[in-house]
Amino acid sequence: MRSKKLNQTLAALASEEMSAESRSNPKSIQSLEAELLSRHRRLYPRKAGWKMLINPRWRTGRLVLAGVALLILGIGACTIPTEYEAEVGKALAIHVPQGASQLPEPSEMLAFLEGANLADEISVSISEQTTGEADIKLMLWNERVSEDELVQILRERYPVLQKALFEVHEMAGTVQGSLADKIGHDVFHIEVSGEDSEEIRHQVLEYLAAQGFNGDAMVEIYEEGDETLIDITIEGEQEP
Amino acid sequence: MRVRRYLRDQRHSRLLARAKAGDTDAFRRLYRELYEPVDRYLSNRLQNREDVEDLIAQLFHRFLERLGRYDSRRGSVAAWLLTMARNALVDHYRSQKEIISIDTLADILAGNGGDPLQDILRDEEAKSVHTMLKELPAETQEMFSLRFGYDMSYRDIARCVGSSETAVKQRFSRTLRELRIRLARQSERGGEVDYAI
Repeated sequence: MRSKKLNQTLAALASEEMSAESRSNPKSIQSLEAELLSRHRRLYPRKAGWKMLINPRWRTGRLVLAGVALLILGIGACTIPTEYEAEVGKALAIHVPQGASQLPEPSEMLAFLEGANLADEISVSISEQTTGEADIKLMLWNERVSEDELVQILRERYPVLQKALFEVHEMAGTVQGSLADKIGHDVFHIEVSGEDSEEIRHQVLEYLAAQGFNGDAMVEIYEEGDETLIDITIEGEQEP
Repeated sequence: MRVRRYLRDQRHSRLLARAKAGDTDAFRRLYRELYEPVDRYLSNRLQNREDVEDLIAQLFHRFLERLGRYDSRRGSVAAWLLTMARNALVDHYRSQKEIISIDTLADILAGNGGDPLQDILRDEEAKSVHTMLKELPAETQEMFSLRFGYDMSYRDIARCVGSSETAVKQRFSRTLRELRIRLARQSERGGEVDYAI
């Protein structure tokens, strides 16, 4: 029997184990779910805000992510007159010329920064090259620390950053008036986890509909240097 | 299948990370995606429906308590949960205070308590494969069940059964080779010439 056919037969035999419908009573499934969710809220109280994540894209070398956030590059709503520019945070690009192996795991760096209460939301990504160099990208939303203070804190905590090059950029977005009223001028993120622009667009539309916003979204995914960016533009009317 | 498994495992990892951060909706989604494979795993290994539902409840409460212990470097979320289910099953049988032989327990873990596979077994080839599978050691049968029934990676299977990834791969390679040889010999005796090793 050829390999492919044997594998197909084995899968078919094993799938009998999976093909039967769940034998659990739907009520017991729902009852257990309610119990677990109630317990989850007590065990894991929620932090404020949402996070936008992307599927990690592997580059040359090793790319490890912890809580990566994407910047919404622009939001426009043609029927709502109120718009304003708002600074939403800071983005740091840190180039480590050598000693990448001495860098912490992104999750450790994230835990340290969150513990220091430097911002409402933080994301960390570290990209290591096989040459020993590394690039760190930090995004801080609603930060509570100046640029100089942040660089000093990082260098003191991680001596390998003493010779690193730091670039700091402001993050800003055009915020539509009524959405801003609704969310209180807070930074918001949309959870997306799709593999292509159509899947992400669909998730963005679902989120916006939940906010009372009926419109259309255009999604473009592109790569710029080492970054993968998602450009989301929405247009439409908002329900009163 | 590999891409689908990778995307599924990545999705579960992200949902678990969000659940740890307090996202109840993420935990709900994880529960709903993982309930059925856990239900089927236990239902194929326990006769009593009440015992199955009790174990499922215990398992998910334990899963909830231990979200912070999950380490993605050691395997997927699904594999981690099925490992917990396997351990819960062993504890359940021990707690029954019956004397269960190692062979019987291994049989139970291999999932040999299911109903006959009538439709599939009408196919003679599948019948032969099925017969040969049942003659394999119970641990090997369990590995095949996890691989082909739950689409688990070799690494996850290794973690679940307490072996190394290398040993699991070798076991599969050797077993599949032996299956093909036996099937080829069987078909030669039957006069069919359609098979090749």
